[in-house]
Amino acid sequence: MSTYGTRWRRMIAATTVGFALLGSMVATMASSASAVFSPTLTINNGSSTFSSTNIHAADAAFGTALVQTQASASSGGDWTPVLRAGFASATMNGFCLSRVEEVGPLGRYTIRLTSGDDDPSTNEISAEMAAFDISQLRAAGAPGINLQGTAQIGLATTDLTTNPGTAPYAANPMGVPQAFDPSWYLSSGNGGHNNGQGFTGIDATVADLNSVYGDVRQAQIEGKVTLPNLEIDLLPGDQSCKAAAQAGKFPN
Amino acid sequence: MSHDLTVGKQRLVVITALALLIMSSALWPSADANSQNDSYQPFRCDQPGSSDPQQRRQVVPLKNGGDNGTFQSRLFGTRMFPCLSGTRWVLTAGEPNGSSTTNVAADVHGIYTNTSGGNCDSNKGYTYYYAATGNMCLFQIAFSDLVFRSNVASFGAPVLTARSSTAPAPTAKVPHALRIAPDGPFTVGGPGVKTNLLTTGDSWVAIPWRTVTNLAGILIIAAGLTTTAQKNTICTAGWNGDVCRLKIRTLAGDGTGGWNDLVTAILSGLAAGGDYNILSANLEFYYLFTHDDNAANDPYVYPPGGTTNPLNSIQLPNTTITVTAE
Repeated sequence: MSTYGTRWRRMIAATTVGFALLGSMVATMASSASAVFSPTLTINNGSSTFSSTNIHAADAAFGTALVQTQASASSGGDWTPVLRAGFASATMNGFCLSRVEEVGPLGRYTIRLTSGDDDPSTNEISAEMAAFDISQLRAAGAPGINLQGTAQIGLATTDLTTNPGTAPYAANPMGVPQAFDPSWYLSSGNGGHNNGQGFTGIDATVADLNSVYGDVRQAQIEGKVTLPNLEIDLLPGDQSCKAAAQAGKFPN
Repeated sequence: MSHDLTVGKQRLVVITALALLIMSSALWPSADANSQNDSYQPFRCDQPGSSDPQQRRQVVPLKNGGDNGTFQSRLFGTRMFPCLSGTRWVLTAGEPNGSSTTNVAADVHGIYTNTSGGNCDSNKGYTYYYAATGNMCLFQIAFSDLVFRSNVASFGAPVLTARSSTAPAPTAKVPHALRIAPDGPFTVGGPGVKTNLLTTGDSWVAIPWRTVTNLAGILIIAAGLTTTAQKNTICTAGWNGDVCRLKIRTLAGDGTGGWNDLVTAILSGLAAGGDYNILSANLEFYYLFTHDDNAANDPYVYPPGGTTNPLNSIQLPNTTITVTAE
């Protein structure tokens, strides 16, 4: 038997794993799409990573919030703090989203979604009303993170806006509860109107994130999204977007 | 039947109309420099028992443009209306206890303190309330730009930290810290942008002692005090050699001690558009905001540089942001 022939058993196993991972990811995305702002949402285990050469976001906001892991949702415990990043509209120069899974004896596999036109000078991806729950974010190079226009630090997360221009703004787009909720607050005050106290954030007219990557627990895009040349790959080993970005490779 | 008016009656009608117009414009209430409605969120920042659904929003006036110490009015001027989280943000940079005046962490230009209408801490500070409970006497400082030096990482890169546990109860069920850590320098403000901070009185910046003596050398000599006595009075957060750590409370003109007037005179020089070397800093603040140099521009509607091409307000190169449970 040729040593260069197709390894059917391994290929079938890998394909099965690939479809399972893809299904898991899509299910996660689907459930997120309807529940990302709900304080009772369930999320994946946070092993997804993302990267982009540039994210140019209008009316951007970053605020602390709590989310619950999928595993603990049924038991009602284990809330985890995240930085919830949202924007009214954004363009991106390339985008990569990946998830690495340990698949028994087959070892590690990476499922990776990429989009872009391979032109480093264009922001070909567009999205509206999007949000990401991030536990770690890195903007490499200069200017890295560039907050433009009116920038505010110290607002309650409930007071952040992700709608451009003038009032009326969307109500509490980051989803931190106004009223006392024992899942979110240690105690109550102000007659049960906690108003986001203890959850703080940053608001900016425009935010530019350059050479950016990080760990994302979930993402939601409510509005229109354009993802040119979308590819979904199943790759052996750890080939996450974050690992590539740390090595200096960004999608564009 | 003819409706034609004589020339005299036409003139009377026009004059009467003009008079009514002038009277009505005089009686009509003038519009504020900006309207809280522009900042209103449908989301409430309320207090039960109050009919105002935005009762707990705070009023923070903008810094006027140009090289002077004036700010907009708290009552009628262009203002921000934040719902404050109550979480204390801390900016640290440089060597906190260093004695070197050559290790400059940053340069700040055009720094002023807003002491008008104060109601706490010798009436130099102002009471600000948080989203649900609690309040604090805070000092408003404004500057044109704060630029960290390229070599700052070699002796203390700047770090911004916000710990949820610093907010008074009610606070987050899972205590957590948001950390923004540039590898090295970052920049706040720049041409066309003003930056404001609401800081605690105990926040401090370390400046070279020569900055004080350059501004007020004659006054200090006239006081006839030893250098140690001078430093003990001016450098209210401590000093090490020629590094003087100055509390923001002191910078705002809360002179204390037997030579209060002299200290006030010195500090009014420091807080009147000063350009300093910042050797190190420990700034605890609850609110930072940037706005257009033209303070008549409502930041909610007209951000610095306009909505379509806003100016750079905060630039954080090579920066890592993390959120962790504590």
